[in-house]
Amino acid sequence: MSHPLEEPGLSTRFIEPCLLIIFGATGDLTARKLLPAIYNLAREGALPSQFACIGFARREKSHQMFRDEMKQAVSKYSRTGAVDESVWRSFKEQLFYHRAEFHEKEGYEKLKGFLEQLEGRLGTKGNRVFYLSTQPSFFPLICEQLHSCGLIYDPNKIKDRFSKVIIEKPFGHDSTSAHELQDNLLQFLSEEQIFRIDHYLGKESVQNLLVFRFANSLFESLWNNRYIDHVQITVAEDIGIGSRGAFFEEAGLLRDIVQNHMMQLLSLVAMEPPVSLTADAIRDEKVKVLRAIRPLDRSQMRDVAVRGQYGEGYIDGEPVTGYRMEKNVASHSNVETYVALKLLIDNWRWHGVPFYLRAGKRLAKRVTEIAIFFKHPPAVLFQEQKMRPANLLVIRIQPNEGCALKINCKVPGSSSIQPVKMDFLYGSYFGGSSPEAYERLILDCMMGDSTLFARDDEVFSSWELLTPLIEAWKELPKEAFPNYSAGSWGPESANALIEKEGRKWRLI
Amino acid sequence: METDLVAPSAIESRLDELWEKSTAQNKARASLFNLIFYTRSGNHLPHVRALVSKVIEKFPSRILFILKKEEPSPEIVTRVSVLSSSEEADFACDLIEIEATAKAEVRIPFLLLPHLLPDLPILSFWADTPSPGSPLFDQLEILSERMIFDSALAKEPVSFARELLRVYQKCDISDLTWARLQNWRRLLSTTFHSQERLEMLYDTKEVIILYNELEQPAHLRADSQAFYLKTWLFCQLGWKKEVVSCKLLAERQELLPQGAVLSIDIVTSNGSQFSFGRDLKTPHLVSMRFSSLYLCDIPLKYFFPSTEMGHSLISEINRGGTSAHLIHILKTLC
Repeated sequence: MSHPLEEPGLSTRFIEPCLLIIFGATGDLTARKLLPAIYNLAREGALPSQFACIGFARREKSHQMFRDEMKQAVSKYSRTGAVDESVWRSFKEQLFYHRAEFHEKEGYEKLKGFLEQLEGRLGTKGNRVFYLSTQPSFFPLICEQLHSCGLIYDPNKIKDRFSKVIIEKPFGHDSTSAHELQDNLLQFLSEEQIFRIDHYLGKESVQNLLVFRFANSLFESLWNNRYIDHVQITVAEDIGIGSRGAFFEEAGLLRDIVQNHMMQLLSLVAMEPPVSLTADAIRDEKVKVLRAIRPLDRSQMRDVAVRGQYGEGYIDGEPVTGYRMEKNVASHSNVETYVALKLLIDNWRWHGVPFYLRAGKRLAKRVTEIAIFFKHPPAVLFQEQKMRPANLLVIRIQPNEGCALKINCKVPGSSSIQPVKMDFLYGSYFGGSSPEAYERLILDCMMGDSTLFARDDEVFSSWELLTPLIEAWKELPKEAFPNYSAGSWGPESANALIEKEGRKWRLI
Repeated sequence: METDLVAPSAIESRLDELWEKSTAQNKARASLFNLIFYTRSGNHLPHVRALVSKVIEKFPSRILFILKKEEPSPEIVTRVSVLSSSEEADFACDLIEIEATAKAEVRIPFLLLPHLLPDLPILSFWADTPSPGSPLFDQLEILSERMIFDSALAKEPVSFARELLRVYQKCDISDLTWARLQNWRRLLSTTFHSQERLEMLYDTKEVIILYNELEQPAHLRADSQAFYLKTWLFCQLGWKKEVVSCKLLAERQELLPQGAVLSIDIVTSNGSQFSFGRDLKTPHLVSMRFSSLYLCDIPLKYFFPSTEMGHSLISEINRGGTSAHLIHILKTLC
């Protein structure tokens, strides 16, 4: 029987009281994204009243110092602008700091005592969410320590409280390491306790993909190889690697963006309708797509994959350095900052439709979009139309979220045909600022909703597809890096990849 | 905002002229809905005008603002303007104002009809008591996907409820007074989410609801929210008047709007007490204290999200369907 005071449709999503413990609390992600997100949740009244957030990190700091730093961070990075003092006064009382080393058991034992003290005071019933915003190499160590100190519960034995762990990407660095990491984590956690975060999935525009596809019969009926010629997915950034040199030297762009964000976008674009909107139903369909992607053949790697690295160039008219000149980057580094791929999905819907993916740093502009290129209509009536661009649907993920449809129209007073664009801009219609991805994802984790988190088999499937490419790139002769100028649209070889098939990258 | 007096026949052409200027300022013409506002001249007018500005920040729409004026004004006056939430906003929308006296009332539907944008939802905010039989009201009932009312404007809640139920036969309805209670409803349903707490709530013997009664604005009934809250608890929980005593008390708090619920005290038959109270210095902060014969919990704090003007109207514009709980209340009242 439903609760008499809860009304379907009114967002009365009940969230159990809980503590949120952030590992790596002095890091960039905490300041830029996590704390502003938690503050905004508090501001919106979305957090449970019995709640506290504890920062765990190695630097010496008092609760007050942590609060002061976080207040500055929230003021600087929150989507809602300057801190609302009336909200902060109360919110800061829910912020704490715990100093400890990740590898020292003593620190976890003290943490346990502190959490129990808070739980007694706040009545959070022992519910805990651990957010691992650290280097991936610390994930197993932290989980092991949490487990050995009894901070994580076995959900099969303890039913009246929960412990969950949010893990930042990347989950492993190839197929083998992802499996190893999962095996490691499963010693201390069950799969249902692991929330692999990919903040792209928390973006409103990415969530809208499912609505766009499955709430509009107009598009879904055309969404197949009969009508679609090819698909282009672009994740372009105009910024360089900033202070992430050391990380990027280890990871490279394929691991940083393609394996997670781009594969998520691809699976959402290509998946079949799920049987329901439950977490597993959606993720089952996404995994099916990933499994249907034709494996990359090592002997043909050069035909389907291109890598690049930026050299010097200009962004916004200002000179910028090349990748090899960035901080913490080797002067002869061969790490890729650009990737272009051609993927084929061997299933009924997508047979013969190439999916071209490109992602890069220091490209001409910051843009993430999915472009669906439709086939030309039969060239019977308007023969010259073959020369005109075919219909194009562009779904913009960021910035300027929205979509545009290009159709051909008759020019008034003339017999010629001209393409025109119908453009829908999310911000124009729905105004205001949308919740940040992290706000949605943190809240979903607290409620135990894993729909917007990557499941283990999704991650494995993605790695299984891309690991042969990583290995091939190790073995193939080194590229003549840098091979594209900062501020351009990538290397010439990427153009060749698509142009040899009579297509072109969309000029965005 | 530049408002141009135009002849009814020139409404669209003058709007197009204004848009040419706006396009030069890089403003895009956006229309999510046809939003019809109806009010009469008087105390409430500035409030309704302010609501329009708030709503277009979130939902730029074609706004059709109908003002019923007292005699001896000219029978019909029409104006148009391009409305933007701010100088910096990159989108703007149409505003068509129609002022009419009672004598010209019959002409309003004919004036309105050609200016509704096709294929867009029509939502009407009737900032007055429902007026069945009025040509405009009757037409809006048929045209609108949703009619939005505010029972705080009603002098007599039972007949108002009866009218709303009648309108509900034709389109979805919203009541802003009910929407304003959303934060309290959410807080109560969260607090009493567990079976144990719910059992305690079923065992209530006394409820005291304190609400804000300001001198102004006098046209809004101060006890309307408290009255709805009380009715909601009684009908959703099946409380009987003979068993549960309920008092609505008034107090004046300048920081909060007219009618806002200030506190709720719930006492059970075994002496347990739940006390919810707004922090009067920080009105969006609410504390909840629980005490029983054997224990006294530490007060818990809740945040109410934004309660700025227009928030309830915006959330009702975006709502799907009609609140089942509201219908339950209206039926109970009738």
